[in-house]
Amino acid sequence: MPRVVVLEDDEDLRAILCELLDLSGAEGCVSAGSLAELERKRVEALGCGLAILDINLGAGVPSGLDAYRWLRDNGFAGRTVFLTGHARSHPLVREALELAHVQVLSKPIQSRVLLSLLGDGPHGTGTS
Amino acid sequence: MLGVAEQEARARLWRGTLVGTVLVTLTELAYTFIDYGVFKGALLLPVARVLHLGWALLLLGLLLVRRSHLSTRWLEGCFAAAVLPFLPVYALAEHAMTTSGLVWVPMTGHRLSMLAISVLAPTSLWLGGGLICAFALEAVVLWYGLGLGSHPGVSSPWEPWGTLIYGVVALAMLGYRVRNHSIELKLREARAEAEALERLARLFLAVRDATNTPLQTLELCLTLLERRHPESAPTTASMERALGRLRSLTQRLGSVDPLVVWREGDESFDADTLLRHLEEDLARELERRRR
Repeated sequence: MPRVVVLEDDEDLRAILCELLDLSGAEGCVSAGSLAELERKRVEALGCGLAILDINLGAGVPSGLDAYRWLRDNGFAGRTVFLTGHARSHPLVREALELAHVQVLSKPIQSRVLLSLLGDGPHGTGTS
Repeated sequence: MLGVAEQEARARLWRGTLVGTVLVTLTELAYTFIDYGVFKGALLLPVARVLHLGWALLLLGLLLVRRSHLSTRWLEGCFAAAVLPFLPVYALAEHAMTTSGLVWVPMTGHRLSMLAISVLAPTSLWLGGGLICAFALEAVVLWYGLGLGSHPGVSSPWEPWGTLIYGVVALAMLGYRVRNHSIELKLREARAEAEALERLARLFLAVRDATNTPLQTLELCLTLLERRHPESAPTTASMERALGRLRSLTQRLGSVDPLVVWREGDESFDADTLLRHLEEDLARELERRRR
């Protein structure tokens, strides 16, 4: 089971996500509420095998897409899954959908879908 | 309570009536002096002009003082009331000219009035058309009634047909205006409806976006509860069903997604900001309706 980095601006969801992932056998969970916090946890984050990134991290702050680019530019080798509560027509979601080798999942996803990400799921582009 | 389109139409009607009444006032003011000079000693026509002038000033006062309270019907009435007194005034003027010994071009006032009505009359074909027909009819009646065709002071070989052609042109211009106004109204209504639908779609999406993260939290909390307290299965099953209904509701709210047009800068708004803007819009609309 991989270590997971979770980037989510909602504190409750971030905490519960990590708790559930830990309970479900993830090797560990690195959580961050913003790109700045992710950068501070650079070593732990880049060592993870799975990144779960919320797309919209709030108004006027770097988005999950910025975090994805930062991870990629810094040699992150794991899988990336975007979570979003926004509509498919939202510009940021459309941008995420155009990326190769990432998954975009719409909130609320069922727990079993989330936990299946810990397994050997497909690594290609996909949506749910 | 008038909508935005009705308010705009009423404001336009008010402007047309005001401009028409101002023109009537200025015309009668000028012709009071002209007629006084032309018909020296004969006061009937200048007095008729002054009475019309006074009446037009009263109407102007009414239009300005009761600007926001006059209904469409009242405004149409004001326009007709400002214009109709020209009929007896013109009849008096044409009659006075026949006895003046001067050479003149008859029906000039009728022709100018018909053209002015076609441009300024409220966009109601019945009122504008009726007024134009009244002036054309009076021109014909005066032409034959006063025997202007054989009068030595008149040199208008094509009358009264020339004046009637002016009437037809004025009617055509009025018809064109009415048709344009009607198309404009329909376009405005369609646009207002599309904007209202898009605002509603945005509201739906904003509510859905604001709900999704808490729903996700509840979903994961429920899974944790099921794992940690399997003995609470009946309770968590009820929660699961309730959560399913909420999920289904938010999915339905998302069906309006294709109606939303995203503009530059929209992506940086979060759902709370969008909801706040919508609430402000609604508060403004409520305030406008209260006024």
